Amino acid sequence: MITTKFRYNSLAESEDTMYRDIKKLLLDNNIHPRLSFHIILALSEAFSNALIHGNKLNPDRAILINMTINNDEITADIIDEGCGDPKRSGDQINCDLWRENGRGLMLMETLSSNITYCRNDSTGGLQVSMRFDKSRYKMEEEKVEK
Amino acid sequence: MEISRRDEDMVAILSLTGRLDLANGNKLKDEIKSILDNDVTAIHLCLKDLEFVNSSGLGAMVSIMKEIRLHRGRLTLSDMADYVREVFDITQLSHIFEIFPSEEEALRSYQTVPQA
Repeated sequence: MITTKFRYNSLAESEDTMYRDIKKLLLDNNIHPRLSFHIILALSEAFSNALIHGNKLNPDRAILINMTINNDEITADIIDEGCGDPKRSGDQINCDLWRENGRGLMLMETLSSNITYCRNDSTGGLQVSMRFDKSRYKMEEEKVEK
Repeated sequence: MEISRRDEDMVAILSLTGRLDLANGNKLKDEIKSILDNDVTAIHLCLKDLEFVNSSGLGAMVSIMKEIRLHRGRLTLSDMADYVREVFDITQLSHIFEIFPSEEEALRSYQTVPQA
C-alpha cells in the first residue's frame, strides 16, 4: 500500500501543480490510463470546489490531498479549510443542458465507486473522500494485454 | 492550453492543445469573442490535442456555444480523444454539440448545411 500526501495553497495556479502531481503519481504506479483519467477528473472537480467554494481562493488556506493506492483500489481525500456542508449529497437534479456550471459533483459521483463527505477534525473544513475500484477497469486491461 | 487559429472557406478553425479547465476557460471565451467581433460566425474546434477537460472547461464550451448562437453562427467540434468524448457523453453535452469524427468531415458539413 502506498500513501502520498500533497498540500497546496489556495491559488488558481495550484490547480496546474495538482494536475501534474496526481498524473505523475498515477503514471509511476502503472494505473490504467482510463482509470487515471477518471481519477484526475474527479480530483480536479473536488479541488476546484475546495479552492473556490471552500477556501474562497484565500492563499492562507490550504487544500490537502491524501492518496492511497493498493492492489484493489485507489482512495483520495480532498480536504479544505472552509465551512461546506458535509450533508450535501450532490448536485440538485438539473435537466438544463445549457447551464454553464453544476456538473462537478455529478462527475465526481459518476466516476468514483463511492464518495462521502464529512467534517475533517484537523482542519475543521470539508473532507471529500472518493474510492476508485480497480476491478471496474480490469476487463479493459485484459483486453489490452490480449 | 494553447490555441492556434487558421481560417478556411469562411470557417475559423481553432486547435486546442493541453487542458481546458478553470484556468483556461476564459482564454477560449476571449478568443471566440474576438472572432465573433470580426463577423466570423462559423467556428470549428479541433480537439485532437486536448488532453483534459473538466466541468469548468465544459462550462466554457457551453458559454461559447450560446454566444455563437446569439450571433446566428455555428460551432462544430472534432477529433475528440475517447476520454474527452466520454466526459461529453456522461454530461449529455454530446446532445447539444455537433461532434464530428474528423476535422475534414466537420468542414465538409459547412459546405452542405446553410448557415442560420
